[in-house]
Amino acid sequence: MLDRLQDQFASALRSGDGTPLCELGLDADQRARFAVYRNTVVRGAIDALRAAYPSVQARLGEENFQAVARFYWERQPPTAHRMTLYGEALAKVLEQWRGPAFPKDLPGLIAHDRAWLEAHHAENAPTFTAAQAAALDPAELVSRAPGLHPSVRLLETAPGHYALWRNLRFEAAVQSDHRHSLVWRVRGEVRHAPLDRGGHEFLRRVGAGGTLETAIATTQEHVDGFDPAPVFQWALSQDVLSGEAAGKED
Amino acid sequence: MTSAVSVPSANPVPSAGIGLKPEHYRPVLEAQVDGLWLEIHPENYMEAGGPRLDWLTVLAETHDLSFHGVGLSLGGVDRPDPDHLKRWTRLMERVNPVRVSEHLAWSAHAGVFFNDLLPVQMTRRALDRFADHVDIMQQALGRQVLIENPSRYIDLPEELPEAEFLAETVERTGCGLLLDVNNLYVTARNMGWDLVDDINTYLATLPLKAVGELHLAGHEADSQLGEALLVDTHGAPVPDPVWSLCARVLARTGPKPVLIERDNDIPSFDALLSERDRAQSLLDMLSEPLMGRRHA
Repeated sequence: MLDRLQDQFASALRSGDGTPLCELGLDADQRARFAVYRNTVVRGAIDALRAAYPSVQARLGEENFQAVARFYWERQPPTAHRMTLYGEALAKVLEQWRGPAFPKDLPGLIAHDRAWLEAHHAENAPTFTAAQAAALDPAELVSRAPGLHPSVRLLETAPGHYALWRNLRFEAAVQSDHRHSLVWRVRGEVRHAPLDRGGHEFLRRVGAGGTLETAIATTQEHVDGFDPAPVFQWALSQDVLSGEAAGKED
Repeated sequence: MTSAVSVPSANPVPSAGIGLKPEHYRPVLEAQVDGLWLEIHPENYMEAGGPRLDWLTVLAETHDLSFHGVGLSLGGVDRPDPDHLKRWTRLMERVNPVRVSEHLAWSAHAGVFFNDLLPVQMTRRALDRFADHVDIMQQALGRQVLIENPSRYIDLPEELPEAEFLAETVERTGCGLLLDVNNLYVTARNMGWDLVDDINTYLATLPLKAVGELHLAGHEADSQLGEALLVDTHGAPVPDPVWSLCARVLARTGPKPVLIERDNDIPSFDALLSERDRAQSLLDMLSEPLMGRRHA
């Protein structure tokens, strides 16, 4: 009986159709009351997605965003017993959308909002500081493999998507055609910055676990004229590099 | 089945607390209100790191914390999720709450989490399963858990009344109770109970010695059905009938920690604190005669 109740209740919650509840002996008045549960469940999912994807909500407008959020919830309901990171598959699920076409920049906005959320909740970790780097001689320094802080998210999107995300999320008025950007957290504050191709490639290789020497050499192979000094110094000053893996590579 | 779990010693002077919201982290830290304790939904603090966890760690140094879970689905068919219980344990190790609680409700089924407190049908079989799940939670956490009475919107066929269901759960598992006064009021109204006699019967059936915390919150009339259906929204100030019922409950239970819950339309910290101070004054009135006798 209990299994059947919850099967039918869950089915009615998912579909919005109270018919299964008739089998439980609920009359029309009781089925009308059931709407409280359905509304709370759907609204909770929409609220969680709105909190996670504010630039998407701003781009689509509230009515369209609610339609998108419902579409997502119907196909990808939460499975974790908490909502903090709900919405991970939004971009993928929206590939199934057959409604009015989305703005072409939507995937870039989704990616940046998601990066912000993940950076916000990422693990705390010590950073590799400018003082630590300065204490090493150059040969020793480039033999280190610092890695990236766990909050760092490197993004590559179509030109202009990063700037649009900034403008929508933070009510800024930025003009930029950067394809590459970085979202990360410094203590309690999530930050973001544009990157050029060389900086993006270098940090990606640092994040993959290589030594600084390897990351520099490989980036220079792929990006003409890449100078590691500015991006490395900037990364040190912005707590982008991790202190935990700053030891010598085996 | 009774758990060998530790029961935290009662706070000698129960006080009033508030549900902690990110908007209030800094005001709470700066205000340093005497006796103010904080309740959180641990599900909001289970990620790897970040500012929420940092704030919680800081506030835990100066405030008692109470964990009020909303995701374990103890009334569900499935057993409590072991990964979720591990996250509970890790968070408890970090900030050492003085109380932990969950709900007589289910929220997950067949791998889907519904993020709501869904109604348990009060049958003997449901009681067996619920008590088993409470026991699993208590064993995993090594602590007594308080179980909260639900807000009910629909009247499912049942084999035993809610108060009996809760009383048997206490008897079988050694758990405590979190008596949500607003939920009791909402349920009484929605189920057509007599607000005096039926609530007195309900309270007389509960083992009130097991009550470890009270909740107060606001509710709203349903947008479709109006006053015929009250919805426990946590989105409005505590209304007068709930304050009155709280006084009735406290007269029976004696002083207990009282929480002002607010999850929607979050007011300013000062507005929330003024409701909390009203709850504190109820507790103070209960304590005064005792103190007077002690000093006599």
